[in-house]
Amino acid sequence: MSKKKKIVLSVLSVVIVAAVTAAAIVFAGYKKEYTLKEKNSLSMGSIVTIKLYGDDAFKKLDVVKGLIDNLDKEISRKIDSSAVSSLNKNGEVKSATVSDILLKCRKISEMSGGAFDLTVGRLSSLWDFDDDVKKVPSEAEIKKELSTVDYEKIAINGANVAIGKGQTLDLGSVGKGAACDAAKAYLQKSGVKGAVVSVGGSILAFGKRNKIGDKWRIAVRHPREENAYIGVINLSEGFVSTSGDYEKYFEKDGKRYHHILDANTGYPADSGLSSVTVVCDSGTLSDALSTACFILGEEKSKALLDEYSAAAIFIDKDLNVSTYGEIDFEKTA
Amino acid sequence: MKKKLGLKKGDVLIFSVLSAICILLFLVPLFTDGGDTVATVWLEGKKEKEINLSTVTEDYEIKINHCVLSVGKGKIGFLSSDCPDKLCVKSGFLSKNGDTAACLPNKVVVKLENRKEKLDAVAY
Repeated sequence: MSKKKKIVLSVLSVVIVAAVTAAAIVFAGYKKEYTLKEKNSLSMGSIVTIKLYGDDAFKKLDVVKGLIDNLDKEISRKIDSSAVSSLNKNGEVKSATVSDILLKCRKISEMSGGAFDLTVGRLSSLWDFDDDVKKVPSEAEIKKELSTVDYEKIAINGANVAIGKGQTLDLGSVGKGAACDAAKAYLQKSGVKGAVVSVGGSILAFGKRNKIGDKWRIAVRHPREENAYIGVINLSEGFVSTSGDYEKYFEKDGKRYHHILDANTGYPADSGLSSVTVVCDSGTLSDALSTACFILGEEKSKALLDEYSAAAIFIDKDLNVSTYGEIDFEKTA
Repeated sequence: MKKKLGLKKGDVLIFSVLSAICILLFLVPLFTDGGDTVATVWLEGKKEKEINLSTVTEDYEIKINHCVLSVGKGKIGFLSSDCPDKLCVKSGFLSKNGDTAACLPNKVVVKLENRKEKLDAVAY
């Protein structure tokens, strides 16, 4: 081997080692950035999963969980000391949180012609899907409780909220989305670069999924198979909520009675759908819209979705899937 | 040019192959992440166990806060619990990416993840 060739080979070896080391350092940095820290726990009667990356990730996971717990303590009607329990007991309460949620949802109640209504508390208690009662109430019982349902009787003055006599507020259909909103407000000011929060299946996708800007991958549960999903939404940022007839239900005489009640009839909604998934820029609204769209059915939902620049995935009872609005959805084969 | 540097075709080929092998050695682990199905078990928000279900050869049980979990190849589930409604036991075995089950009274969450599929969350 000539001297010249030896020198060239040595230089080339050094260049290759340097290039590979540099690539390793760059990719190690990329991977570190990409790795989401995770916390799984329970709140609002459901599983809460928080994943985020950035500085002090573990501390921030605990802060987000604390925010969700605090919101639950304010808006759950099952917690005696909550603002909503106080409202239901005394007819009025001062709570900026409750007021804010009600203001956001009012227009959806209006546009749905009252089919979506947060004063369904007594009706929900009558059906009692939470306690696995599996009993269809009588028509007279339903008529009686239905007479207390009317969102127009809610009066809001700043943080002061009042409801009509005999009414019971139930924020169960929007509370998990509101928790995602609370999480986002914190994440925005805390310098977190990317996070995904799931509160009982209501999702917040925040910031960047990784350095190269891949989209977040949010699966949508299969309405008839418990541990399966029907497709995946690729999402840059936003909130995702699903309402379906499979979460809390019972079957009697061949009919499925589920927990999403049509506030106009007092009975479980029957619009031909098995689930609706909504994507929009607010958690409270995506929760409210998915419930309202589930009750209204696909055609009547479109004006509502347009109003909020929201997109949706409709799955009917025969499992036909259709999408509306701008949404990147891959159906699972 | 090659003649001037004193390199032969064979030298270039050897260097190219060596470079490619080096780069692949770094990239493959970064992008595959194993692809195994991994279960994580959480108690009161803290991760208690991480089990690679793909490598389980014999079924076994784990006790955690008044719950018993059954672990098998590619699956995990609540076998029993002292909770009143037994919803955790009724949720059956988890075997697919993104599956979760919980015993609310005992504050135990079990989650399944296939690291290859990279799902961030499941809307339900």
